[in-house]
Amino acid sequence: MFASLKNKIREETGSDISKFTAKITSTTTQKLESLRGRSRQGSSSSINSIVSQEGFRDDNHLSEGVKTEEEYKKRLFRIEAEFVRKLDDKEREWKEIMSDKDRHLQNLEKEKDEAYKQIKNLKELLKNAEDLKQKLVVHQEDKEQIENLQTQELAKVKHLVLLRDQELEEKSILLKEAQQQLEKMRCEVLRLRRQEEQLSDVQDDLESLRHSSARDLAALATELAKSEEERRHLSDLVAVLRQRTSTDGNNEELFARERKLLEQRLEEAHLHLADIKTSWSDKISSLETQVGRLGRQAAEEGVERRRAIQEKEMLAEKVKQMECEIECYKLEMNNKDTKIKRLTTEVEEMSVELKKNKNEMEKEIIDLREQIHNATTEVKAVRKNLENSESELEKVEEECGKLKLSVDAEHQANTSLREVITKLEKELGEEKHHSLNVQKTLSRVTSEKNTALLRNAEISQQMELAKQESRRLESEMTELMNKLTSIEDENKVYKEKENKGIEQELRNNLAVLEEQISDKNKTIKNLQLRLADMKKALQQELRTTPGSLISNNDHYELNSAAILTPSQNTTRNIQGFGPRRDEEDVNFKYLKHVIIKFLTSREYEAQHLTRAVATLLKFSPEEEKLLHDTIEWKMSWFGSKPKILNGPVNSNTPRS
Amino acid sequence: MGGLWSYFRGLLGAREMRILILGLDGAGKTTILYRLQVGEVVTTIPTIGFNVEQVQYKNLKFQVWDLGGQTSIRPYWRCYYSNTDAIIYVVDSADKERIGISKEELFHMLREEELSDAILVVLANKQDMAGCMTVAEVHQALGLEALKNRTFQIFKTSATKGEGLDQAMDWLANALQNKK
Repeated sequence: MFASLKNKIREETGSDISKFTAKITSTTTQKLESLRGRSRQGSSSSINSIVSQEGFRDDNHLSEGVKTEEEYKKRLFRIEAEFVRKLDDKEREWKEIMSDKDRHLQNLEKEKDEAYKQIKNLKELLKNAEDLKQKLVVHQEDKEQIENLQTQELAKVKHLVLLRDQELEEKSILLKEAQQQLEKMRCEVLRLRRQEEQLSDVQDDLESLRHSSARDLAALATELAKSEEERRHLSDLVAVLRQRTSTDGNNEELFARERKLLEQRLEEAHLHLADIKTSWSDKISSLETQVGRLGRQAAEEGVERRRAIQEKEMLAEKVKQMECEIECYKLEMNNKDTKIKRLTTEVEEMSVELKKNKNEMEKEIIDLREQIHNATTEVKAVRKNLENSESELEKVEEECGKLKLSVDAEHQANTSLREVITKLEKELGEEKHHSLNVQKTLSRVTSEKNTALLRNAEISQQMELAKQESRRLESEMTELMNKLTSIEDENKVYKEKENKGIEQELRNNLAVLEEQISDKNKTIKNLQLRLADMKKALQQELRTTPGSLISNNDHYELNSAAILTPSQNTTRNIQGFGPRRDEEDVNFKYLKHVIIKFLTSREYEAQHLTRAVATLLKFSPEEEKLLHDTIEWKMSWFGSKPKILNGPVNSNTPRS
Repeated sequence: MGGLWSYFRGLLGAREMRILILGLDGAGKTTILYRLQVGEVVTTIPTIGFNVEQVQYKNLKFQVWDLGGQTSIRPYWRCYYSNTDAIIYVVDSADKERIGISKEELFHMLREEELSDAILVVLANKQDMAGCMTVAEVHQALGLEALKNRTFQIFKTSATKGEGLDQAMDWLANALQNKK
């Protein structure tokens, strides 16, 4: 680097460089060495060294004067220009390097892209390989199907062939049977022929018999003729002898004897003849019967013969049919043979096709296997990628698990919130229930309030009445008090005079006055009750005439209601008096019910009801006792009836 | 005939126990009576008057009187007090407003001389109703802790569902037998 620099400097500065170089070599070696270790960038180091050179040179030449300043300046300019150029060069170099690097980078990027493309291609190849795999599978399936079909067809064909063979065997068996039948028929025919011969022999015999019988008949006829001729001859002889007798009287007796003998002979001959005739007639009849039998036999045989002939014809027809069938079977056989041949040829063709298919398939399989092999290698590469992605996936899953945990936590929070909600709902229900109860109580309270208001009104009225009374009483009381005070004053006066005698008198007066007050109170109560009764009556009257005072009706009703309660209170408080009247609906109903029960119940129960009846009907104690005793008497079985019954009845009836 | 029958019964000594069922109107007295007698829930109308039935319970015969509890006919209760062996006092546990009146009536009744020996059974009825008072609350509201010299017991019942009546009758039967 320094050498090239020196050269350049020499070219541009001429001979002066030697000085420079010598100086540089002597002075700057140390600095250069130090700089060498610092950096490789030659441009900066060289600049530094040169600057120091100049400084050194300036230090050296300052003493020479200002003459050389211009030269220095010129040199300096030159050197600067040089350096500028060098810098430019360096910059260019660096830019080139940079551009190279950029290019390299671009190339790398391109390579990267190519690699991606390759990956894509590989993926595509993988896909293709998978497709091929699927195709292979499909082909194999097709092949298997085809093979199956072929085997099925072969089996069918074989089955058909077997069926045909079976049919053929059946047909041949039938044929054999038919032939056997034919032979049998022929045997029968032969047998029948023999029988025919027998028949002809029998017929011949019959004819010979007829001939012999005819001859016998002829012979017998001739014998008969002879005997008749003999008889005629004898009769002639008799005639001759009679003539003799007629001529010879002596000899008449002899002649008569002779004649008698001759006649006897004649008769014997006649008898003999008759015997012969009968024997002949018997023979003839026997022969005729024989002939008839033979004729019958002949007829039977003729029938048999005819039958045999018919059978023969039938058999011949059968034979013909059989022959026809045999021919048919033969034709069928031929057809089947041809079919079988055809089928076998088809089978062979099929097998050939199968083989071809197999070969093709095998080739395809080999190709596909190769493809698969390629694909598997690609798949491995892809699998690596996949593993990477799986690791990423695992990371993601871990994150997912974390998220799930968080979700579970949220769920738990949710469930807790739900529980809280349910609790709140329960509380709400309880609150509702409370509110319902409160409403119920409210309604009751309002109703009570209404009743209370009514009662209040009643009470206020009562109060008014009572106030009036009380005012009256107060006025009376004040009067009495005034009197009392006056009396006390008097008493004091009298006390002073008379101590105890007068005091007693005064006390007596006081007691009398108090009694008067109590009496008045009673009268007040009675008056109150009467007032109530009057009001009731008034109300009833108002009810009977509803049109008259509608506006006041409510008021009166209120009043009546107001009166009901105090009367009840009094009945309750003053039990001794019992119910006042049965004008009240409930009391009337109660009375009715109790009386019905009393009348219908057993005595044991009635005994307990006497008190209630007595109370309701305001019986006097005597009446109650009477009722009680009567029931006891009814129950008690042993009669003590009149004693109790008579006494009180008489005394009590007028009272009630 | 009835005289003869009761006479023989009296000879045999198998006297019917006389029991009164009392309480405010609508407490369920009639329902309890018929539940005891026929074991079924009958529809009832307010009793103006009374109902009397023979009830057999474990070889014991009761003559049970159910007296109407309306305000106007409550005074007549005292007409039935004589010769009473036991009182069944029925309280409507759901009727909190009138428990005070019920208490007054109970103590008014117990003050009677004729009932000084009668056994008392308090039935806190209508326990099946929502928001009703418990047995303890009824006990306190009636002031039963103030009762002395009185054989008594309180039970929670539901006449419509038939709950608690058997225990009450068991106790009553035992108490009556012990009293003899």
